[in-house]
Amino acid sequence: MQSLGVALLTIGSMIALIAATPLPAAGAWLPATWPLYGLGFMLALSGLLLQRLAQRHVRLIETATTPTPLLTALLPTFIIAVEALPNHWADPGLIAQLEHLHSEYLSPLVEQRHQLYGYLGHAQATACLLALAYGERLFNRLWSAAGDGCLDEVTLVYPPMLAAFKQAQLLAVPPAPVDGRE
Amino acid sequence: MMPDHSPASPGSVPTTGYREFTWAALLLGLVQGIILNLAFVYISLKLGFSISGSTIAAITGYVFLRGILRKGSVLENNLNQTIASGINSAGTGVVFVLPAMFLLTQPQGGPTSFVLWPLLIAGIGGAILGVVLIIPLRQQLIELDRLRFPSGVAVAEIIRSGTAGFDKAKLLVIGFVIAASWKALMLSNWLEMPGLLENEDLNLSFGLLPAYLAPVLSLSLLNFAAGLLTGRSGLVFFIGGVLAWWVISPSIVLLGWTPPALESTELASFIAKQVLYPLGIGVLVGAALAEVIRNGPAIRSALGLLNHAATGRLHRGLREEMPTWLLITGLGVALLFFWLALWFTPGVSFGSATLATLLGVLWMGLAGLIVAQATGLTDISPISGMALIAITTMLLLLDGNLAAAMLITIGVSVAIGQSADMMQDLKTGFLVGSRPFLQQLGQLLVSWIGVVVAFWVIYLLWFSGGGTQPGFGPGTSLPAPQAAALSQVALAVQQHTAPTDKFFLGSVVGVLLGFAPISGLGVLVGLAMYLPFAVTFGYGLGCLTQMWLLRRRGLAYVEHQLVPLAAGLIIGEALIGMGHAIYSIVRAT
Repeated sequence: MQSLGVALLTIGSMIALIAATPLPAAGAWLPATWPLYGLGFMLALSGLLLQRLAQRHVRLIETATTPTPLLTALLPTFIIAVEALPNHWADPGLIAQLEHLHSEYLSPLVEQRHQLYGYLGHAQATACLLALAYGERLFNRLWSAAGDGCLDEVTLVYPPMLAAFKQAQLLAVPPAPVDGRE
Repeated sequence: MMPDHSPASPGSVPTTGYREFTWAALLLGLVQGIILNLAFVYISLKLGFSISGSTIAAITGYVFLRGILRKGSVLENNLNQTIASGINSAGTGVVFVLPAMFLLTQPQGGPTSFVLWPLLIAGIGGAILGVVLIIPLRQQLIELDRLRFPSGVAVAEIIRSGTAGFDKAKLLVIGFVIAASWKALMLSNWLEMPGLLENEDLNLSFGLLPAYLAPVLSLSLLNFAAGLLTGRSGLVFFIGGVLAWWVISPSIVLLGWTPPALESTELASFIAKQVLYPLGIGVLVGAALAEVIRNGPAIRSALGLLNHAATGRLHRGLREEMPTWLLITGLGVALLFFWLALWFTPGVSFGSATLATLLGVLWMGLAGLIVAQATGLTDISPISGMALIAITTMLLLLDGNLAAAMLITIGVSVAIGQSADMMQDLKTGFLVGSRPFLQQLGQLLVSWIGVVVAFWVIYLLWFSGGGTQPGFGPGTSLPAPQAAALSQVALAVQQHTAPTDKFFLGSVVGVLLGFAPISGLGVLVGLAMYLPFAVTFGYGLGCLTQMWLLRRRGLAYVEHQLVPLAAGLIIGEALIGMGHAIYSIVRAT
């Protein structure tokens, strides 16, 4: 159904756009090919609806069977690594350590963020990703302060950054079902 | 030597004195912004295009704040660059529209027959509105959608280059040298071969493929690097170009729907200008409208979070986001500015002024979103297309009143330029850890200056003709190509020959594509139809190269090796391009 939807949307849009190209005749607003345009539009609309239906179907299956997304699985390890950071404050390799954390954990977490929507639902996934993004921005600030040699700023940025990542971790787990309710 | 972090700022963090919004950043940003604005207004009138000032401001900031003052920080330079580009980009919006007003009302030169100050007020209103309308979308576009904003990434690489380690700095410099040398070689015309390599475009037809298939590849490394930074998410843009030029174009030629008298490049030019360009603008508009509706719940939630973040998420007691009341006040002031400007324009009734203000502001919001999305996805901002829609709609709505329509158009151009620039700067800020509130405040405080400076420069240049001939426009040393194009469109609308059917039919398809499950599909397809295929092709090759490297070498390689190299390519071409433009003007005068 998904493939058929994509095909219909693509073909329909192409037909509509091709039919929209002739110049209108004198005194007319639309080109004489407007019925063909209408046909293309209807095909594209059918394709879009099919795609939406297929997507809803896939989402229902995914919600029931999706394995734990990478973000949910990787965040605890990342937070343990972040909690060890204060041991490196005076370390000349702090920047390298931060870059390692970014490429090993943050970048892959962000890359796989879309998995969360099916797993947690839109509202909770959004809240989780915003908490993660806030933590990431403070992580970047910590990086900048470390690069500028401002250790005071590094130590002050660290607690809210860690708190933001922990909040994202809490939000990355689906709420437990309440007894007696679906 | 360790930089000095002594407190020296109007709004910096009191607890550590880490330099962020400092007097040095503010003053340097102001001076750079005004100088860049003066230069780029002139360049735009001469060459028909402008350049973002962020890169130059970041490099100068690095030299001045860290090299001369020896106490600059990464975040301080980000603020300097935000302020400078905020002033500069406001001028870019003005220079596309205001000269057209001079050319249309007084083609022979001399004193103008229109009142300037309502246009100035509308431009200032646009500058305010461009910032306040886009702020609520920061979290959606940067933190949730994670749009790439290639220039924003490149500027972040410059700002961080001093502390990012030797390897990254080396890659940045290598990229810079390659692109600068390549651009210089292209500009020298040594490689020019008529029919094969002209104006930095490589003709791939080899006498076999027809011109209506647009078999041309732009050899711009900046364009290729933007694709390198975007990767898979930009691929739809390339596919859109393929569909436009390799499916739609040959189809309509084979169906005989093009004028039979046209052949070769004339036929390709007809297809681009009369068919794909207006249809592409329509698709862009429809898709953006659909995405606003589709993302409505997310945008509402972002607004709610903005309010929460502005009050609840205080980092060490300092504000992180712009407060909602300030956004609403800004919106109110801008609406009032537009209404007053329209009300004082001859021939505009109370009702028309109110309706045009409301529709104009709605369009500014939508167009700002389109341009911010397009810039975020591809680094290309379709400002001219959005301004053309504005002039067309307003001339129809205001019964052909050119002054009133131009007034809204100038507001739209300035606003959408500000929206795109603000988002690029906020992306840079995210990557270096700046507080969005300080960046937003900085841009809101200064963007109006860019409008005033650009008005002043354009006014002065108009009278440089001595009052007996135009100071710019076709046939002068400053041909103002963008303004001339806008004048043509305004005349076409007044004569009822504008392609409104294409705008409408394209927008209906755009709505469908906007609701498709692939994020940004409609905007990218519309943009691909609107742009020359040579650009889309080069960009697509960059996307494909990044995808190949990602598969072969992994994400860490792309983030740490490819990103600084691509940033260097962007900076190298941009700086040599600007240097050459200034050199050409100096040599000619």
